[in-house]
Amino acid sequence: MKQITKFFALAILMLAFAASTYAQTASAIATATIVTPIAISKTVDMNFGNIVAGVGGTVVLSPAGIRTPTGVTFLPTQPGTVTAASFNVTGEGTLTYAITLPVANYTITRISGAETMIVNTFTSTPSGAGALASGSQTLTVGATLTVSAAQVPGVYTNAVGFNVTVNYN
Amino acid sequence: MKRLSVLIFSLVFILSATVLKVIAQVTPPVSATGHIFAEIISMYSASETSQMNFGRFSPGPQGGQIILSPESTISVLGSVFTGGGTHNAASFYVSGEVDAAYSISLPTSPVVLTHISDAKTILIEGWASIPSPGIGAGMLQEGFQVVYVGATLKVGTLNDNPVGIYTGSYTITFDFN
Repeated sequence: MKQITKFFALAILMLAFAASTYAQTASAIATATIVTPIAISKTVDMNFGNIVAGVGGTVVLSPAGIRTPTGVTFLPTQPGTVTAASFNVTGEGTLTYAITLPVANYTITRISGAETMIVNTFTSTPSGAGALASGSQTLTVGATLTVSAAQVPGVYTNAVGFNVTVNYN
Repeated sequence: MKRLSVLIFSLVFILSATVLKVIAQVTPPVSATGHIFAEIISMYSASETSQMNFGRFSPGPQGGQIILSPESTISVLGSVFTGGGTHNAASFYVSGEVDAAYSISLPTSPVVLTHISDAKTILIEGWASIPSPGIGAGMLQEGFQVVYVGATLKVGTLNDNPVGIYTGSYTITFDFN
C-alpha cells in the first residue's frame, strides 16, 4: 500500500509538471519580444546580357550591375539587358542579418540546346551581413560567368534558379 | 513535498523560459530564388532592314531599264513608264565590333525575278551600294553601319513582261576577315 501511495504522488507531480509547462509556454509567447520575421523576395533576375565569346574567358558582373570582360567581347550596339540580381529583405526595424550566397558552381544551359556555362563566385552588396533600415534593405547579387571560345550562340539559363538565404544575427 | 513541487516548478519555468528565448531569437532562415540569364551572340551580324522595291511601272513597245540607285532615286532608260507606288533601295544593318572594317560583295551575275503566277522573268543587274563594294569598303565606326543597295531592272516588252508582281532573291556578302 505504501508503494501505491508513492506512485500516486509521482503521478500528481507529473501532472503538475505538464500543466506548468503548458502554462509557461503560453505566457512566454505572450511576453517574449516578437520580432517581424525576416523575409526575402526576388525583384530582379541576374542577366549577363549579350556576350561575344571571342577567345573565351569570363564576365564578372558586379552587384552594381557593371560587367567586366576578360577574353570575351561586348558590342556597344547590342549590350542586351544587363542586371545584377536584386532582392528585397524585410524584417524588424534595424536588426542585422547574415547573408548566405551559393558557393557551388551553378550551371546554365542553352535554351533548346545542351551546351552549358558555369556561374560561380557570387558576390553581394551588402556583403556577408546586412542591416535593415526601417525594416527593409535591398540586396543585390552579382557573379562570374565563364564562357568558352566555342560557346554556341543562344540564350542560357537555369529553370531551377539559385538561392540567397538570410537570417537574423 | 510542497517544497519539491515548487523547486520543480521553478526549474520548469527557467527551462521553458530559456528555450522560448532561444526560439524567439533564432527565427528560421529564409531564402529567395533568382534566375540567371546570359546570351552568347555572334561578333558580326547583318540583316535586311528594307527590301529592294522598284515600284510600279508599265513596259513600252521596246522595253527598257529602271535604275534604282542606292539613294532610292529612280531613273528610266528606254520605253518604260514608271507609275507611282513605293520604290526604295534595299538596306542592311551590319553590326559588330567598333571600327571593324569589312568587305562588301554584290551579286556578280544577273538575278532573275519571276512572275508570281507564270514563268515570265525579269533580270536585275548593275548592282551598286553605299558604301561601294570592295575589300575593306565598310567600317563599323560606332559598331554598326547601314549599307544601301540599288540595282538596274531590265524590262522587256509588254509581251515579255505581262502585268503582275515579280519576285526573286539575291545574296550580299559582308566579310570581316
